[in-house]
Amino acid sequence: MKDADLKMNISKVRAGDKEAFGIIYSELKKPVFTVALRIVGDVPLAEDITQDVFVKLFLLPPPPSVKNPRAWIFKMARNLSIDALRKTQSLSIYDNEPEPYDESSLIAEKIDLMRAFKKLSVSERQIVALHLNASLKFSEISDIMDLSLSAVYRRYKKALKTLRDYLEVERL
Amino acid sequence: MKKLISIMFAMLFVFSSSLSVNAQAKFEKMRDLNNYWAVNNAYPDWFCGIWTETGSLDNLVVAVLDTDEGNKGKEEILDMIEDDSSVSFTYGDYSRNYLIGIQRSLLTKEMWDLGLSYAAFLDDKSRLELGIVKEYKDNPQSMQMLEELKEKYGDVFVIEYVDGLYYTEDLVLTEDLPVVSFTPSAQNIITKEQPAKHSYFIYVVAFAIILFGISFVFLVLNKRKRAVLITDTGKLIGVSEKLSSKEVEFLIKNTEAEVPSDLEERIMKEIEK
Repeated sequence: MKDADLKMNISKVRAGDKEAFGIIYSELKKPVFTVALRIVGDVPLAEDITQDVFVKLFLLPPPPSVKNPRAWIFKMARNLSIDALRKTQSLSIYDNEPEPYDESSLIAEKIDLMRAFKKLSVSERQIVALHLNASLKFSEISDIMDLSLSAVYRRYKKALKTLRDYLEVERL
Repeated sequence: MKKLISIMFAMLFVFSSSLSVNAQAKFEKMRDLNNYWAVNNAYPDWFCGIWTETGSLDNLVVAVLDTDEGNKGKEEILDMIEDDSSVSFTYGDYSRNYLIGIQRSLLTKEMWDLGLSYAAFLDDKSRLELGIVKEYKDNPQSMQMLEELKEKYGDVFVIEYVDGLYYTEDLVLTEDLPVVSFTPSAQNIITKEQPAKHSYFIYVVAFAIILFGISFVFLVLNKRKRAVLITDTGKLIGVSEKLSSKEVEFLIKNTEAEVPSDLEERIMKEIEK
């Protein structure tokens, strides 16, 4: 969905148009759910977060002053995911130490993408999910996470390397 | 692996390039260089002719134009051959390429009908010898033809009156210049040997085959198992064991989680509360 179409549908949602809301939901349900799942790593928790995002979107849609409604929606998904993590884990405000890399956990034949994401720090999960699943630019992610652009890019590259190393199968 | 193959291709390119350069740059003797020029029709414009005075193909005389280009040409020849004693130099009046061009223009039926028997390139005289059938010596049209040629080309020609018409290699009208240049007094200095460049090509091909063989063996010996990736929702995707960053990005982008089908209903219930 183009940004212009999204803005138009959001303006209809402000007027209580459920059909327009349905269009937005159909378009964004997968990426929002995926982003939440990548960050929290738990399906039921991600479902709850997704539900909250869309309920809030309908009840409190972004005002017209918001130039980038798409980024706004994913920022909400990200914030709700962090809040959920804080409730379920002891989490420092800025970051969480990733699980130590355990070579023995590599499986020769089957690789779990969810487990791969758990090898990343929370901020790395957010950046990767927002960029690849929510299709946000690094500049938008920098605004959402209140990080410098270079920090976002650096963590993204590091995350990709960690995922690549984890997903590659050991030589047999 | 991709890097290894890239390095191998780069080595192959450098190796073959250096070989081809070397093959052009160095010939053992002057006769080898002359062979190369003759087969490839690559005589320089400052080159006038080549012959032997000793009867040996290991000692050849090369005539060059008495110009700056001709003098530089002598240096170029000496740079291109390893055995400098295989050549000595003198000057000629006309470039071989110039004379060959005239020769070609003369080898026509019209000229034959006027008694032209042959037009031969004389290396040691830097001239074209025109063989005119004796019977045409007093033919006005033939004589006029000769006058016109003399007027147009000056002293390029040497005239010989010969018996009857006969064919030589010089009279074969083809796109390729004849390998043999007809010199009545000099020996045929074109050998049947192939230029050295071709033997180097065989080495390049052999090297390429060895490189590909090594790559193939390496790939086979190091073949890894193909991995199966389970996504968040249990979907199976086969992936290569060695992933690039692009492939990782592709995997993550294209493995969106499946949203529970009842989620929309739950959301609508919340909204309508």
